[in-house]
Amino acid sequence: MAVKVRIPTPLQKFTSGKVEVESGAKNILELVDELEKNYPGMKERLSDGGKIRRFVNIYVNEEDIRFMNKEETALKDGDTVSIVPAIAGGRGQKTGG
Amino acid sequence: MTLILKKSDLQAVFEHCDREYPNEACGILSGKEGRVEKIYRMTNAERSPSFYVMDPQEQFRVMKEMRQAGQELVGIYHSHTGGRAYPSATDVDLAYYPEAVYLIISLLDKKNPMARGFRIRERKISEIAVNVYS
Repeated sequence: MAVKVRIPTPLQKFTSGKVEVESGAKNILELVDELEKNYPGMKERLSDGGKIRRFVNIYVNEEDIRFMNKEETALKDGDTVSIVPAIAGGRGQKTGG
Repeated sequence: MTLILKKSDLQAVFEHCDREYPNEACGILSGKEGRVEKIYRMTNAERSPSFYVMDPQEQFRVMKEMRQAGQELVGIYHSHTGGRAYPSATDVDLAYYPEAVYLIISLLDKKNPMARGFRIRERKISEIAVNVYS
């Protein structure tokens, strides 16, 4: 058994269209590195300087890692990790659009 | 491609936007093949008049509920309380859902809210017709 990782639509271009991949990573940082190794380009999309990007939500099973140990959140066999882009936007301060 | 929604659902979206004014409101339009079957009013975790971020835990819960019900993410709505109904630079930067129609509601004229639909793919904006039926 391993950890299941759900890949969101905009990142499936890195996984050749795969919606779910498997990983043996022991925590979120390891997972990001492993994804980068197998699917180059993922790390930059997910993180910046070792931190998960603000508009990337990562859940272990049902829990947001922000409420767990963030990037250090431990993973174990049978866990499901969901990578879900935030739904965000807005008029912004400068554009007025 | 058209976004199809019931007049009463659009009215409910307008009411949600009005209630959150002057802050931006946001929500999810779930359904199938461009037809909205259910609207989810979401919490703007930023509580800001110029920015929205859906509460991440709520977003996860709703997306899971939709997946289990066999529903698709047909659209994402949000209000521009002081701007026109067109994607801003921020909207384009943060458009991570190429499959969804971004429904933007302008409250520039608060009594006459205006809604327009767009797809935002690879930073390209294209307008989508919004078909409202009663």
